Amino acid sequence: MPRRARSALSAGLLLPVAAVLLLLLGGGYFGMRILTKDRRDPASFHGVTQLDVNQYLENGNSLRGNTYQITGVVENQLKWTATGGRILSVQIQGNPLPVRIPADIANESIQKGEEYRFKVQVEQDGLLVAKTLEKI
Amino acid sequence: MPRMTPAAYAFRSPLRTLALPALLAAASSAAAQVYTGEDSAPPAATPIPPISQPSLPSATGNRGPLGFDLPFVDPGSEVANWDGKAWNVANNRVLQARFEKYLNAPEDDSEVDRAYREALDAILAALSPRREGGPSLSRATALMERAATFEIDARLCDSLLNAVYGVWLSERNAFSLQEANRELTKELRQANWNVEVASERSKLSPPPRNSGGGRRGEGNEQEGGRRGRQTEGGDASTESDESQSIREATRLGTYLSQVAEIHALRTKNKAEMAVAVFQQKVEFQSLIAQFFLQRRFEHVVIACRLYRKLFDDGEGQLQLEKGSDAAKMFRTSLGVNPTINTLDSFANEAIRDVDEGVQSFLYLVERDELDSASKRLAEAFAVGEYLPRVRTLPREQKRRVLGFVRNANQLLSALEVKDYGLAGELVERLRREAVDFDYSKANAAVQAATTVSDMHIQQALLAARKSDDASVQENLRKAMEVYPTNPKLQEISSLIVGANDIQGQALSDLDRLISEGNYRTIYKDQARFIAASVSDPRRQEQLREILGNLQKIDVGIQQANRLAETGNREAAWEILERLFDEFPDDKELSARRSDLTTEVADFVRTLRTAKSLEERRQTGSSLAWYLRARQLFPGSQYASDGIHRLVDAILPDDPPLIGAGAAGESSPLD
Repeated sequence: MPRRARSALSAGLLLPVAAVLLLLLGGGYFGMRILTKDRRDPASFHGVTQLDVNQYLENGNSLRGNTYQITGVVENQLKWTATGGRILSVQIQGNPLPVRIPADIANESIQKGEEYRFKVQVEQDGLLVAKTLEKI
Repeated sequence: MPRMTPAAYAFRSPLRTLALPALLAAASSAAAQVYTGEDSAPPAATPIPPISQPSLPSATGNRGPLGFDLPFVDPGSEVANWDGKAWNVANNRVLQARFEKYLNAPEDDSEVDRAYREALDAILAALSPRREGGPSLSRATALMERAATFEIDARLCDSLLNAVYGVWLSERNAFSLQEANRELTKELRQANWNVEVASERSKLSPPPRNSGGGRRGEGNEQEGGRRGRQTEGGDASTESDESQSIREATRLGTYLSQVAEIHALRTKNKAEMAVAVFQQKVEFQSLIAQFFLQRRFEHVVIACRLYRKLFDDGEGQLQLEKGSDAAKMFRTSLGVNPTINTLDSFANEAIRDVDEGVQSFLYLVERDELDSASKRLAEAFAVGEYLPRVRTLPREQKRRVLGFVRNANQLLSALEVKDYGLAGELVERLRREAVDFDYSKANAAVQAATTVSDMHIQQALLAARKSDDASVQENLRKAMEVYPTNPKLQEISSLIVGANDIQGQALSDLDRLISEGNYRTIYKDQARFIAASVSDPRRQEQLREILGNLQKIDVGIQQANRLAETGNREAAWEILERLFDEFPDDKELSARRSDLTTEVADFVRTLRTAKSLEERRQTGSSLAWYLRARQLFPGSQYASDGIHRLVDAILPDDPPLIGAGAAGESSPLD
């Protein structure tokens, strides 16, 4: 004999389920918000590939327009101007690479001998120009 | 310097006056044989002094038997004149050659020579006034015929015989003329008688009856004829008288004419006899004088004795041309006109003098005084070349002085051509050969000429160092004029010419090496090129730059070597690389650079990659390589330069602002 459906869910059961659903929905929303926000942030290193140093040394011009991230120790400052920023020599995988730090980010505190992560773009003449950096 | 040949000393003997005619003969003999004018004269370097004799004979002047054709010698100037020519007898090649020939000739000691000498002695004995029975002309002539057959006599005795024969012919002619005159005298007497008879007939004839006027002037013959015709009565008788008178007058005139002709013939014959005698005398005297001039003194003595025998009239004076050189010569030396006796005594004196000279020669040779010995023998030879004392002198004795005479003659020649080097050697040789050789004059001449020439050469050298070409040439010319064969002249000439050659060769080599870029060779032989380009500013500048660059390269190589030795190979390489950029053609630099390139290959490859990328405008990559190079060698100038160059291109300097901070590596870096 069919059992008769329990027609009446208790109120006490509905409320926890609703709360869980709400939590799930809220978490998903915030999660989506977070993910969307990282991708749109230029300072984010999320999804930025590492620079192939050897390829760059062989032919930097072939990488023009690409954005890479590099991590290295600031070895030396090659030049600095107030309007143009500075050019650093960054030791990456045993190879010193020149990285230009534009003036808009040049004022960030950069110390010689400390390791930084740079998000760089290969610009004209194969020069690495930092878009953002962060101290590691 | 006066020339003093052995022959020349003959002029200086005490018998100068006596020897003078003999020397005339010597000059005459020599001139007659070989002297042909200018060709036989002394060299032009010793011009003959002008002749000052006012009566110098002309070649076309009067030519008497002893007239102007005689040679004339001036003992003061030692110059002989003959036939319009003049030459120095003291430095005459012919005389020197004759004397040397005599010294080499064997002595005349053969049977033939002795026989000839005996014949001459016999002739002299036959003609000697002391001969028993007086001089024998017939014997003398017979001996002369024999002597004339000897070759050494040169048929002079034959000439003498011909002269004697000529005198005989002349005497025979004179005898014929005398006979003719005798006949003429007879005829003259007959003619005179005829004239007298004819005159008497004219006186015996009757006088004419009428004597017509106007015809008296026709002469006695006509007048007599008329008278004769008048005696025959009537007109016919008168005509007959006149015809008779005319015939008688004609006969008388014929006789008178014969007398005149006979007188003329006699006078003519007498004149012919006188002329013939005089002509024979002159011819004989000419022959004697010829013998004298030929220095045939024995023949002179024979001829003089024959002359006295043939012409016994006491007339012995030589018939010399008035004003001739021969007349002057005898008159100035003797003060009187010469005679046959004068020539006779001269000849005897010459023979004695030659004997004395030869004796003196033999004595001096024994004492090794060859200088004086050769002079005495030369004197004797010049005077008595054909005398027995000279001809029979042994050759071994003569050859003792032959070497000395040859050297003395060579010394004169050397001094004449100013070969003072040879002259000096000959002086030393002569000093060794002859203890009495007077070398002072020759030595002084040699030393003076050498000193003067050397001084000019030194001045030429000094001028050459100053590059004063004109002075060099002038001094060399003067040195050559004084001493043409000076060995130092040859040396300096070789030196100057050689220096010019060396300099020219060095400059040529320098130009060639520069064009080839072979600067290392120039650097290695820099002393030669520096010396050669002393007077060439353009090449000097080139050389200075080349040598400076090579010195810079060498200093760099040495510096690189030192760095490499201390392990700083990159720095060494960079030094050489910089030099190589500047001097890519230097092989030593290139080689050393290659060596170091191998040793620091990684560094070099890094730099070259950086450079290559920089050239391809791979600025980022290039800068990375430069940074890598500097990492390999922090002191790398190439890396530093590349970094600065690229960084400045990437990040130009800001325009300078007052109070603004300076750009650079020292800018704010935390």
